[in-house]
Amino acid sequence: MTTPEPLSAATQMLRDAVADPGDVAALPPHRAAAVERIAEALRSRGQARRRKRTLTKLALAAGVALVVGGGAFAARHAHGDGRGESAANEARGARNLGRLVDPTGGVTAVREGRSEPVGVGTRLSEGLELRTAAAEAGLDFDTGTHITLGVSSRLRLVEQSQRKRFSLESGSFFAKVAKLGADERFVVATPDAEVEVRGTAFRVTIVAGEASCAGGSPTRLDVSEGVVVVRHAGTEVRVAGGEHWPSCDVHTSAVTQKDLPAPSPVAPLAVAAPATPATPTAPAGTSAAREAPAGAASSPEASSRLAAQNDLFDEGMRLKKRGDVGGAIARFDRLVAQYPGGPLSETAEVERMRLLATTDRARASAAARDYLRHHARGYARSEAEAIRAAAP
Amino acid sequence: MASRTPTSPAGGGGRSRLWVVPSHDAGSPQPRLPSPTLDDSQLLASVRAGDPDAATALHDRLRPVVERAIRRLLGRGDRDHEDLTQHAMIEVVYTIDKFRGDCPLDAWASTVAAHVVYNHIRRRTTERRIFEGVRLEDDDDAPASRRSLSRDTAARSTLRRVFTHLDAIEETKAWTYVLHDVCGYDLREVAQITESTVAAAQSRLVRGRRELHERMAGDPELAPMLATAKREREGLT
Repeated sequence: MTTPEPLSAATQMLRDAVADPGDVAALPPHRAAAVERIAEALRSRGQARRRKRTLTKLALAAGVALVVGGGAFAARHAHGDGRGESAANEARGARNLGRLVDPTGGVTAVREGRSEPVGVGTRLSEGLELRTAAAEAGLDFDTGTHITLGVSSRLRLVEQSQRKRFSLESGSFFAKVAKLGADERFVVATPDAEVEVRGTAFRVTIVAGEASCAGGSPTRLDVSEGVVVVRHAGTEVRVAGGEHWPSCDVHTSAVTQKDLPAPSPVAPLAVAAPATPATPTAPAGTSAAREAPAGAASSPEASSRLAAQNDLFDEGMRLKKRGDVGGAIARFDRLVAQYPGGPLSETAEVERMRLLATTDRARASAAARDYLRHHARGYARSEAEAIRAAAP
Repeated sequence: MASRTPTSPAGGGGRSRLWVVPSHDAGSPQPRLPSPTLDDSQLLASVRAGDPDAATALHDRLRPVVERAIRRLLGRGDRDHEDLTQHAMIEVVYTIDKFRGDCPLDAWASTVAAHVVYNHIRRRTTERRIFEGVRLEDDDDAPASRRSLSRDTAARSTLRRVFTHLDAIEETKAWTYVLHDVCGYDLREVAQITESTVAAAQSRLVRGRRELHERMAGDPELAPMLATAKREREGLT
């Protein structure tokens, strides 16, 4: 007798054991119910198919209109008004849509006047209006961007493709925006202004405006990291980390920096370059002084300068994450030295100060002193003061 | 059903089998599923269009295929069998667009059903085992003769030992081995069922086979049991 090779013999046994599944063509006892459930699935499939077809038609129509409509339509399209494009993006998939996370209270989603239940993890499609009552609601995107909708707020999701466009009707909205790609945008509209960001953390609030400040604008913006561009009344204002807009408003005492989440490891990236290099010693909160006509920030020279800053900052953050403290400090040093007053200089100073605090207390103290001198009202002021106080 | 008796499947040549099927009176055959009213191309077009009138034809055409795939992986006694069959049929409707006609409709539906079973077993909090039904069924059946009793008992005992080794290797490798070597799915189908790539499926298959082989070769009691089982099979066929 020869001993069979164990695996092949065992495999044969298993095959024998499952080879005959029995009478699979017998009429099942609940055939009618099974057929009805399949019919239901087919009906649902049919509806989805019709919806998709409609969206495709809309997208095609928008494409045709784009061709024949000329410049005016193209301009609107560039600002994200292309409904056809939105429709096409919707059909392309849900990857661009945010998910509701950790609501601390009831959140209502309203579409075309009708309320829809929203559960945790639900992808929120464009056109929805989210409403919070006594609690905040969080919205996470696959890109790493996180939004927190404040209490008693109303936020409309105008466009949710690679271009994210929100309309804050009331209340407040905090966003931590991950680095955006070349074709991505992140825009928040308020009743009278538009805020565009490219990888930063900021808060927008609708308040009762005062006639003496920014023409009575009810929009308030606090930036904790990076740079945000505000378009208002035909002008474009660049607001850097630690600053707020409008600068004439005193509401920041109500929304202080401690209300904002701590800076995250997500590298804040500025998109709008300053029209002219800012003064290194310019105190925060003076962005209005740098107001420039919209478009002034987009010169090629400014863009390349900004890209170099972004690269340096990114490199510093990468080294920091990797644990190369010395390398990271060197990159932040270079950024501060080469681009004093640049949009990322304050953040770079803060990062350098924090890194030094873990390795060299004397140098950290000096860095904190410099930071306080450059940014008297900077967002890391209390941190810098603590480092100074703890210095030997 | 009153009693369960061992049977020899048609064409099986009297092989030793480990399953049982309900006995039916010879005079009252089990009612059969009617033949589908649409051919495959018409059926596919209707399902793709979301036509609810195609539900009956789809059910009657693919239910046996789905049922067979599920029974092969779970056995017949699984408590979730009916739900899984229904779930797999619904899944066929929702994923019909992925069927591009590069394999027979039966093979594709079988793959969808196996995928449903795979996900189901991995989600179960208890009894997360392949062939659960096969392991449990047949304990209380009464063999026709003393000889078959002895043969079946030995075969069951061997199979249980094989299951022990199968349970001991990593789950995805065990699944890949079972789907490919036991159930006959090709690597592309295995990748689809286990939500992996063909390369990953191939790697798991090779490693799974090797681990199983090493475990079985190191089990001194299993070799004579398998030899006996083989002799029995060859003697009977």
